[in-house]
Amino acid sequence: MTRYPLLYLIMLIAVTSAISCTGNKASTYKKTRPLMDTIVSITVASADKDSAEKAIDSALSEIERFGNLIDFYSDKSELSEINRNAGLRPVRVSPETMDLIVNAVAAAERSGGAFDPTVGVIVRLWDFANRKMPSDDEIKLLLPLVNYRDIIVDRDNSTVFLKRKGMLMDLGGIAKGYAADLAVESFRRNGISSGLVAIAGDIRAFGLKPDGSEWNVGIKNPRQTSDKDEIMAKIRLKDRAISTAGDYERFFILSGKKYHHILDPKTGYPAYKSISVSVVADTGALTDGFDNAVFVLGPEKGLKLLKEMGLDAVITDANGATHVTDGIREKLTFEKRD
Amino acid sequence: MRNAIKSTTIADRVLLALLVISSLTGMFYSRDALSKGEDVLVEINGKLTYTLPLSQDREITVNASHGQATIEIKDGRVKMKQAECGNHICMKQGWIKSGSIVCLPNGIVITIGNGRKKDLDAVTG
Repeated sequence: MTRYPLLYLIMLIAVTSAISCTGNKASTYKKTRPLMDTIVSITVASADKDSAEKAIDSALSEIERFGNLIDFYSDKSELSEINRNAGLRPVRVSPETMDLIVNAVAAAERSGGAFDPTVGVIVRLWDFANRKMPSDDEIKLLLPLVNYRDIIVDRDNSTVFLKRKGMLMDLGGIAKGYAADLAVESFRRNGISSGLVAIAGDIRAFGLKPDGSEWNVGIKNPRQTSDKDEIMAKIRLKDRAISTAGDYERFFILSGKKYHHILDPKTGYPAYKSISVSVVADTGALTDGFDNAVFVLGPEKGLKLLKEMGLDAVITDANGATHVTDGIREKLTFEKRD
Repeated sequence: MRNAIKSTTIADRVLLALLVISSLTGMFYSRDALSKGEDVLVEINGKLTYTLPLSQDREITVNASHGQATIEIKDGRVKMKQAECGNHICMKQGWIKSGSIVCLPNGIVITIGNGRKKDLDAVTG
């Protein structure tokens, strides 16, 4: 040892560095499950497979539990109980349901009703699967029941009350983004600091990928013509969320006119000022809460609202023109068109 | 041989040990560096011809330079089942879960990777 100290030292460094490099190397682990009536896909970066998989499982359970609380179509959900008791009495809800509704009402207020969770009563009239649209009279009759101001939230008593009988609250326009936030909180509690939660198109990225790069998310081309032009642009995300509202998700064409599922709460009919809106913000509750609102408002008013709220977005308007806010310009790469 | 070992100095032995360690580490890393993914990408004469999900069992037959070749996907693995080539190196490689199978005479490269969206972690919309 004393004769060749330098050589022994080099050898020691070589061995320890080989061990430490392999021991701490993070990989990504991914699981996909059908939850909340959609596909949930979670990727996390971790040096340990077991703890990564356990953390993903508990995040998925969290999403499932939350999804059951606010399921519009299940009689057992807290949301259904609120709807059943519209005009009758306030309903006690769990903290997550309360927080979601507080976020939904805030998005409705800030967007001046361009997003309104009480549009549920009109949503129920439209049958996109069977290409059936309601009559003008049906819409006119129920439209007065659409008003977020009639959602009475009592945080002290943890109750929610829909003021008028017949009102229906549908939280589908914000719940998936909020669920992604819950999943990220669950990962933080379980010591996972990097990953990507995708609840259909509502995506929240946290931390960086194992190679040190940001998470790369594709934004769907709203007018895709083949599998070669599926993606309109790519965006790099770290500790940010993105949600997209597009007129191509659910629609039918009747007498040459496209009727899609993003309804203007003020008219009860589809909104036609945009064809796709992707909102980028710190949380999924914000991105999911405001993507439909900006879609309904259209680029002019939508960009104004985004600026007021400090949010970013890519908007494709009715003419196919793209509008991008300054905050994400450097993170976006548009695909080349042939 | 004995003389050869006797004539080495400690420095030689340390050097030898270092070389052994570095080559073993290299093996570990190179195995890790093989391409992985959820799709089977089939290139014929340099052109990406098929992108198939690794999760779906199937057999496909493609036309190549020396006649037809059959590729089988099963249980998340892929192999060259049959190919009209002289040495059948591609077939002898058997099932792979990562990396590539190359059939040089036919110009076929089968790689496990992630299709067109390989640089995307998710898609919104």
